[in-house]
Amino acid sequence: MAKQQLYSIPGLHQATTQTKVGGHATESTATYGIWKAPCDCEIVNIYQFFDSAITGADSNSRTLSFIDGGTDGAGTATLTGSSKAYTSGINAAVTAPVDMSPTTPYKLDEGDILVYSNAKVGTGLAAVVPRSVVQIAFKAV
Amino acid sequence: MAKQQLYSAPGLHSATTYTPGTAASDTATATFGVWRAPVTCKVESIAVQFEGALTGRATNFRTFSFIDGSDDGSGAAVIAAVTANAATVTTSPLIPLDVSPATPYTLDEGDILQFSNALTGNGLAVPVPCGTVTIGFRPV
Repeated sequence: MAKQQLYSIPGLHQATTQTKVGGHATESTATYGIWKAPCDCEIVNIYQFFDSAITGADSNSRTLSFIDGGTDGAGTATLTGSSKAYTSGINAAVTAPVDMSPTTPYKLDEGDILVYSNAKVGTGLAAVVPRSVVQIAFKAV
Repeated sequence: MAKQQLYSAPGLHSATTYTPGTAASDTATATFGVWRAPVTCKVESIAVQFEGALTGRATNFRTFSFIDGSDDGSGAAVIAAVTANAATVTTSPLIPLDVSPATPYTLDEGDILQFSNALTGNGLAVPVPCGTVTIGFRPV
């Protein structure tokens, strides 16, 4: 029988993972893996729950993205729609998640690493980027 | 076919999420979104496994609640709460805190489950550690 019978069930499956808190406000761009796809799947939704609020700013800011890291984490394709530039007026609250869902379902192969990027623009935001819980909805394909 | 076929399977499903800790014992009340209901469901059990020990006490304490934040985080209905205002309320890294609703509570698909960490007086003797939350929910 197939290895992944659970994922033979159609419909959305859920996974939860985390991103780490930034080291300091001006730290360099940090990119790291946060989840390994358990089967060939399409990422349908990504919701990010932050531990503290983010207030965007122009010139010096951060861009947070989810990336298809491939099987070794080296991939660099950003999931279209799953990137947010925290410029002026773009903020995150703690009471509700930020919707980071891809514009269209994004295909990952079994074993692909979902990578999170906390990219510095200019000197970064005034405050450290907080830790977050990431809730992923994926459809086995 | 329905969108959420996995949740057509009867019985209790389980989800895990996390709550942030506080920087200090007297950190102000804060409310955080922690989970988005993937399907219309009844929440039957919630357990918080804190990373450190907490012991309740009178006068200066905290109240841990889970709230139905609706689909935008603006809801305020308390689903379940534990007030740590007595020494009998304890939790350790080995003993999760049971914050289950008295009766199963219905969340609609997309509703945000929130965790409230409310300060009374100066709070507990120590900062509140981070917690791992296990949610038992039954699709309806």
